[in-house]
Amino acid sequence: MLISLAIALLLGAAAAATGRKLLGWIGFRPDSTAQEWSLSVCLGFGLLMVMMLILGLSHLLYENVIYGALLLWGGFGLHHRQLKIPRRPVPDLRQSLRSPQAWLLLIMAIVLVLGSVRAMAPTHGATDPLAYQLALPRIYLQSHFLSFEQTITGALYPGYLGLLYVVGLALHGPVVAQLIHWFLGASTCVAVYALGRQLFGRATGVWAAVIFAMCPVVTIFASQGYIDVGLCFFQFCAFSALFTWCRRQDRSSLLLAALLTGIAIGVKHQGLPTLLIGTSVIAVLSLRTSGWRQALVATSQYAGIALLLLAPWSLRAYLASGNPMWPLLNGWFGGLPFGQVPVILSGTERNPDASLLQAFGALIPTLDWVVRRSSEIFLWKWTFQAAGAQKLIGPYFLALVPVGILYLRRRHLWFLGFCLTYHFVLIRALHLNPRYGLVLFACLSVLAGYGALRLAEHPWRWLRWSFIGVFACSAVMNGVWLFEMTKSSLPVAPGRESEEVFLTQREPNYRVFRHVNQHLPEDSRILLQGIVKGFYCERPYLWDHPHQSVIEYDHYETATDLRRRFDELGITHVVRMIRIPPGRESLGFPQYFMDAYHEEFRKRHLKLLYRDESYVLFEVASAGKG
Amino acid sequence: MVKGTDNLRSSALAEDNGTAENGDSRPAWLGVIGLLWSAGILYHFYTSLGFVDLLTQVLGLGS
Repeated sequence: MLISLAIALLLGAAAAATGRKLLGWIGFRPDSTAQEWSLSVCLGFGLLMVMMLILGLSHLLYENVIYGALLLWGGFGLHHRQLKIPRRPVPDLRQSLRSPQAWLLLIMAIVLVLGSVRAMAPTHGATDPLAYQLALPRIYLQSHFLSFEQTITGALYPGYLGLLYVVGLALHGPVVAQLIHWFLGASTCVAVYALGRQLFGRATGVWAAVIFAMCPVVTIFASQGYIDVGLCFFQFCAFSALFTWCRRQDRSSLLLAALLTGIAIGVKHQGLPTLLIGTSVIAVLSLRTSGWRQALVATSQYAGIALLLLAPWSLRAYLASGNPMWPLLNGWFGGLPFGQVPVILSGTERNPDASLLQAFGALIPTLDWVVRRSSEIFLWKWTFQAAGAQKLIGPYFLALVPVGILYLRRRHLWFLGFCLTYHFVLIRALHLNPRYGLVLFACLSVLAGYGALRLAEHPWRWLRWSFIGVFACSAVMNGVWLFEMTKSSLPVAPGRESEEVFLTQREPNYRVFRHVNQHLPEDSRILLQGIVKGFYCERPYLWDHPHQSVIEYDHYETATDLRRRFDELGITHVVRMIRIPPGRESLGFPQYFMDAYHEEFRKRHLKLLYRDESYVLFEVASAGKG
Repeated sequence: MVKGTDNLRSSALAEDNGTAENGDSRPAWLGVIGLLWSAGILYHFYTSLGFVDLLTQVLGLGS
C-alpha cells in the first residue's frame, strides 16, 4: 500500500510540474506560491484527464498506451524542472512552538496523515465508489474505451475524475485512485490557504485550511473513491482564478478561469453552477468596466472555452442515448428511457416533466417553502442534525462564520455575497446536500478562519487564550474521532494485514465475487440484484436497480417471458442480495425472496451455486432443465 | 479588455489580523460575543453528539 502512496504523490508532483509549465504558457502571474501550486496541480491533472478522454474515445485505453501518455505528460513538466519547492530558512524551533500557526499546521498534518492511512485501505464499504465511481473506470480499462454501461448509475455523466481513476487503476489498482482523491483533498487545503492569505493574510489562510481539513464530510469522503472532494478542488480553483480575473480583468486570468471551469463542469453535473456564476460575474463586471461589446467578447470566450471541455462528454451521451445529459432532462430531450427521471433542481414543485424554463423558474423560493424548510437550509441543521455522513459539516462553520461576519470589512462584503449566492444554489439546485456543494464549505472555511483569527489575536489576553483553549479541546475531540475511524485501516495500510483478509472481513460483496471470478467461465454475464456493488466482479454484468430500464419486470407477465428476456440479454448467472435493507426498499428494490413473481422465477429457472450470509449466486438453468 | 492592474501582492502582505495597526477600530467587547457564541456552539456540539463518551472510551476512563 505504501507503493500506492508513493505513486499517488509522484502523480501529484508531476501534475504540479506540468501544470506550472502550462501556467507559464498561459501567462498567469500567481499571487503566492500556494496559489501557484494549487492552480498548477489543477491544470496538470486537467491536461492528463483530457489526454485520457482522447484515449478513451479512440478505443486506446490499453495499459501500455496509458503508461506512454503518462511519461509524455509527467516527463514534460519534470524535464523542464518545473517542480517548485519553496525554500525557506530553518525556523527557530522554540519560537515556532510559541506560534499558534505551527500548532495548527501540526493538527492539519495529523488529519491528512490519518486520511492517507484510510485511503490506503482496500476499497470497501461505501456504495457509490464500488457501484459506479470506481466501477465504471475499471470497466473502461477492461474494455479499453468509454463503453456505455446502461444499467450503471452515471454511465453517461461527464467523468473527468473517473479518467484519473483509470490511470490509478492501470498503475497499481483502486488504492491509487483513492489516494488521488485524498491528494486532491489535501490540495484543496492548500488552495483554501492561498485564498485566505490573499483576502485576509497568511494567518487566516492557515486557520481556514485547518478548518477545511477537519470538516467531517471532507475527511470521510476524501479517503474513498468518491469524486466530490475532487469536484470541490476543481471548482475552488476555477473560482480562485475567477476572483483574480475580477481584480485584474486580463486575458490570462480569463483563459485560466475558463479552462478550470471547463474541467470542473466536466467532473460532475453538480459543477455546472461554476459556469453559471462565472458567466454572470464576467458579463456584469465587463459591462460595468468595458462596455457591452467587450462584455460580450469576454463572456463568450469564457463560456465557449469552458463548454468546449464539456462538449465531448455531452456529444458522447447524445450519440449513445439521444440526450446530452442522459438521463437528466430526459423529459425534455426525449432520450433513451430510464426507470425514474432524476430531478435536478429542488424547486417548489418537483416536476420532472417541467420545461427548462419552468424548472429554472421554480428555483425562486416561495415564502411558504422557506418557512417549511427553514430548519434544513441553514447551517444549524447540518451541524447538529445531519442526516448521514454526506451532510456532516462539523461545528466550525456555525461557530466561527458568524464571528467572521461580525468582523468583516466593507471591502470583503463581495465574498460574503458570493458565499450566500452559492448557499442559495446548494439549497435550491443541489438537493440541500453539502456533499454536492463542498466548494461552499471551502469558501466558508475562509470566513470561519477569519473569525478564528480575530478571536485568537484579540487584544485581551484572557479572551485570546480562552478561545485557543476551546479550539484546542475541539481539535482533540476531532482527533479522537478520526483515530477511531482510522483504527481498522492501521494494520492493512502498511501491509501487516493482507488485502484478502481485510476485504473478506469488511466487504460483504467480496466473497461472492471471488467465487464468481474463480469458478465461472469467462463468457458468463451476470445480473446483480439488489445493492450489489460490481467493482470486484471480473465478468461482464448488468445492475438490476429500480432506475434501470433494461429489464422492466412489468413487461414480462410470466416467468417464461422473463426467462426469454434473460436469454436475449445473454444473462447466465444472478448474484442476489438476500435481504434488501429496509431503507432501500422504499427506493423500489423488491425483497426478491419474499416476492411471489421473483420466487416463481427462481424455482423454475435458477440453480443455487454459492451462498453466504449476505449474497447468493445462481446459475440460470439451461432451457431444457427449466 | 481593461489592462491588468495587479495590486494583489501588496494586499496579500497586509495581514488583516484585527490589530489597531491595520486600522481596526471595532470595540474589543465584540470579541466577548464572538467567544461566547463559538464556545457555546462547540460545547453543545461535542457534548450532545457523543464525542465526550468516545473520548472517555478511547482513553479508557469509562466504567
